[in-house]
Amino acid sequence: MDAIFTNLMLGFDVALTPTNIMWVFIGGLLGTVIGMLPGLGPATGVAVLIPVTYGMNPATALITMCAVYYGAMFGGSRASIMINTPGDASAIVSCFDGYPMARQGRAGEALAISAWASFVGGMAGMIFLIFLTAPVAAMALKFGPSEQFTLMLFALTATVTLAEGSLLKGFIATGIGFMLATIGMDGQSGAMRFTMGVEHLQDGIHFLVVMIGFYAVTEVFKNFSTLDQVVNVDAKTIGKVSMPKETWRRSVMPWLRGSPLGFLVGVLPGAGGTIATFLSYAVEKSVSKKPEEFGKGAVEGLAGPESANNACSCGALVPLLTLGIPGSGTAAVMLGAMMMLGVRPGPVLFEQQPEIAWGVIASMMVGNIVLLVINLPLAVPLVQLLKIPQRIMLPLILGMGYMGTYFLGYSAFDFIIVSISALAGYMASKLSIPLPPLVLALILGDKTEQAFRNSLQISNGSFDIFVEKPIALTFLIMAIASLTYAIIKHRKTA
Amino acid sequence: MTKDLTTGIFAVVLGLAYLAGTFAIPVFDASDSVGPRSFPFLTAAIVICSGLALIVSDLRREERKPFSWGFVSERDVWIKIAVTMVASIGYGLVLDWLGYLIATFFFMMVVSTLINVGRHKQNVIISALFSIISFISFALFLKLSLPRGLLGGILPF
Repeated sequence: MDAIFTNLMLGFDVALTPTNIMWVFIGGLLGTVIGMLPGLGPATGVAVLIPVTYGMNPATALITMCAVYYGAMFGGSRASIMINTPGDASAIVSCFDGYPMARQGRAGEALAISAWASFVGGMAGMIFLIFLTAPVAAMALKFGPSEQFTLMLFALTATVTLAEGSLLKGFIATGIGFMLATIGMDGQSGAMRFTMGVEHLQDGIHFLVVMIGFYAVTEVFKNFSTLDQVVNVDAKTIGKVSMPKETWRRSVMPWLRGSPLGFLVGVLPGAGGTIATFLSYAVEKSVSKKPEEFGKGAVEGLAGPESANNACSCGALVPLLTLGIPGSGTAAVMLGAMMMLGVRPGPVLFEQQPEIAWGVIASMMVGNIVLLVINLPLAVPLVQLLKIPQRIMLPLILGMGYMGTYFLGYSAFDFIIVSISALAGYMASKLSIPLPPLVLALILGDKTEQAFRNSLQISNGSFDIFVEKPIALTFLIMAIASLTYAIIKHRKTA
Repeated sequence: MTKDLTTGIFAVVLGLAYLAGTFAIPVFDASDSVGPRSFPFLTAAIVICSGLALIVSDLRREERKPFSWGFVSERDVWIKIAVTMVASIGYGLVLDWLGYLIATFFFMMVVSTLINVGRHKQNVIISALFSIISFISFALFLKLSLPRGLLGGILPF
């Protein structure tokens, strides 16, 4: 307990410098703006705003990116409430009751519920995160290659089984991710693999380049079909952005239920905000005395999922910071950005660079307060930004995406990779191939292969090593269990 | 062709091509008992098997919804995607030679004209502001190295 308190104080020392507070504010504001634009979620926000962090020290850069992430989570539901168009998939549920509230002339109330719920969910998530990171990181330090391999196997199977869509397509996506990860020089033997004689591929494909393609440029491609969409937002109809007493009373329990639920879902690799918000909505509807009000402007239908969504984003940081395994698409982009900054997330981060790990955690608590301040009094002017036409925003996102790509390696070849990735991402969305398993496999591919080969070298080629050690066996059982669950679920729905 | 059948065929073809590439990986480290081929081999097996399973499950299905890429119905979207891709690759190729300011301005002009059709003045302003503001922000404030290209001798900073 003392150690946690000491570390947290160290974190606040880093987070509360004027520079870092300023970047929390700027990052939070930019994230809110990007997050609220229809079709652009937190992953896109972090991906296109990565260049903003170039030249910063790692702690400030990470604090800024976390603020963007958080801001996008806060902003995601603005568009759901005002124009019935979610900023990203996790804000879909906010349309169910947020939009009907706006149509009833209660837009201000809905925006206030959303902001407070995001704040409560975020704060509760941060408290869970603070108490969970140290023990998880300490345990992860004891992992050998076999435990690391089975852990990554579990993370990958969980991502496949929890991702939306077909299980088989999830496996195909995982395989494609591994394929991309194996391109380049093999770290252990020095053999060139799948480079096809192209010199630029010898160092492999930088996964951040692929992710800028998937999360920034693909999203622009998808929006090409809705360029003529006209958004009508009348600020006069929003009303006062505050919660009446009765709304407070009705919101407290959904917040208390949604926050831990969202956090737990966030910790699971691949589950993400969409599952957290839908689960929270289902829970609220099932415990409600007036379930018939859901879908017609029920306070609980907005308060619960909104808190779950933000708590989920904190949960996703647990595997990211302690194990180096991203729990969501946004966390994957953040992992890429961290590695670019020379920060290697994982258990060693808390030992070797505690000021970065705890600085980021403390900054997110500060960010939560800053974002509440941004989102309550500035709700009306921020909502006006929804009027900015896609025709103007999309070229800017493309410009930011390619600019960020250039800074990654100063290589024109990366532009080709981004463009091909973006096209592949667009085609994958047409074929309903889920991207999260692909992205996770691409990121973890190298580590997974190394752990696999090291384990087998230690055991002289025997696969028994994966079942002989209790922790490795536990992860293996969890991987098999998640697969079995998915197969049973798939058969029931088929 | 349905979505699943298309995906399945694509996966099998990709998996087989990858498998062929796996056999071409040189193995010369005797101390590495597992070798650089084993993991790619497993990967190819996962993709091929999943692809085949997807094909079989699709062919067994009674109701099969045809899938279209929309090359005709969404012709405009595909044209925009193609032009954006060509423009971005071209942008990368001329960036060092033309310099960041000029190359970014032209890239932004192309994509803005493509997306914000008919609003030429607006597009010129957006493109010019984007290239100038980003150049000043990154080259001057964040001290990042950006190619000056043709304007190398003219730029005061």
